[in-house]
Amino acid sequence: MARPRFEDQMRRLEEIVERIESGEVGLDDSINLCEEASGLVKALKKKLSEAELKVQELSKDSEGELKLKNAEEETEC
Amino acid sequence: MKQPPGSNEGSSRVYRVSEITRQVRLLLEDSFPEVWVEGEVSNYKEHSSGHVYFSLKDEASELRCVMFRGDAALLRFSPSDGMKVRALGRITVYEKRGYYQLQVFSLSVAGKGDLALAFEVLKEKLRNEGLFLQEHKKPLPQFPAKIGVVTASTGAAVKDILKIIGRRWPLASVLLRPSRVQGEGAAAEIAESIGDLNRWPGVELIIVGRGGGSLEDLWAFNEEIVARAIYDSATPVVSAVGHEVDYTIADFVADARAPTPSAAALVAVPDRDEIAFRLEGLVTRALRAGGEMVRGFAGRVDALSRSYGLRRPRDLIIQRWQDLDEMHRRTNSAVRHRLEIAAGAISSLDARVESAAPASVLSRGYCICRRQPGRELVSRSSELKKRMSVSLQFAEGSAECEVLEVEV
Repeated sequence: MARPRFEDQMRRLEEIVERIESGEVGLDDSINLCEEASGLVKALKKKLSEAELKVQELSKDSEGELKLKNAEEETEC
Repeated sequence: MKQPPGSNEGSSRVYRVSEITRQVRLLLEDSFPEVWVEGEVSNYKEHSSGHVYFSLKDEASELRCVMFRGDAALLRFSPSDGMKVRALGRITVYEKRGYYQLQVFSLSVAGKGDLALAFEVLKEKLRNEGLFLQEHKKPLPQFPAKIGVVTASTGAAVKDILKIIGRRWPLASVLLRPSRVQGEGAAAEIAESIGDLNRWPGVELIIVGRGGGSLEDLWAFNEEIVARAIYDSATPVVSAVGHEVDYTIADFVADARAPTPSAAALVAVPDRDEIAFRLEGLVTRALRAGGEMVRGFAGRVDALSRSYGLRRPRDLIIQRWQDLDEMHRRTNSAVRHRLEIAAGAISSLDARVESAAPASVLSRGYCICRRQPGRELVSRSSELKKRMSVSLQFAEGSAECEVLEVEV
């Protein structure tokens, strides 16, 4: 399975919060949702804090074929 | 005494730099005290001092120009690069640097320059085709995971872009597609690179741009092939060409325009601190909503616990107690009633006993007879004998008597 996308996880989290806030879900459901939300928050925070920019270069060889190579380490923050 | 300009006698002498510069200056300034020059404005810059610096150019040459504050303040239009103007001024020499320049007194528009004209023609054409319409603009992804960058592999632009993306949103990966951004063939290469990144899997956003330069330097971004490639790109494109003031055709077609490459990186990715903050906000909201929900349910549980339904069993018990009390009370009163009846009976008996007492009998005229000497009660005449002494007790007083005759 593909790594879940930050965007999707963030959207799911927002959706959960809105559902809980709407008061339309039952207590049991909202407890499950809260658990899911806390898992998402943990995952998202981890991504935010541990991320490191990856830079690659796409260039063409003499036959016009695209080739991927890792760019040399760039930019200090 | 200095040699006058043009004198043959000085051909073998050695000048000092400032000396020859001064000579050139006098020669030039005397020769062109007032001239009209027509050309295209390039590298137009307003200095904070109020002086204005630019160049006038045509196909072959370039002339440095300066317009001092007092003259610049009288300008009736805003000159910009590419604009064809006619300048009135005098040639001067900036001795410190040893170059000559046109000190401009006044400036007027002289019809548009060729490049500017080409720019306007293409802009109008593409506008009419609808390439700039808002409805064709694609929204930028909020959290792009892979960002393609079309720019020169060396230079400030790529460094700025990587630096800012690395600082703000290192969750992304960047795919550089190095391309020439000026000179012959640059436009075709830029267009091809945009196509390449569209075919490469996973690219969610493309930044196309370069750092600042003259209108000629930026020209590739004013060419139709680049405009079409941006328009045809299925992946959203952010254009980032030159400085704030530079507008290119690419900027009009792009889904978002950033004034500089750094600004393009700012537009392209969110700031992770900001997102972390938003995340905290969501957590707070979730906790508050969850807390409210739990309190809500707790309140309902509380209310239910006080409801009649749940109170009923206890009520029933209380009622049983009441029933018991009631029975108790009724039992008591029944007993009391009986006692009262009994008491009544007793008192009537008492009355009868009372009425049966000797005193009350005596009061009705009876008397009690006792015989002597033992004073026993006499209730039959047979208990008496002739001459026997008897004592008669009346209701009041008594009498001692002698039996005269006994009849049985």
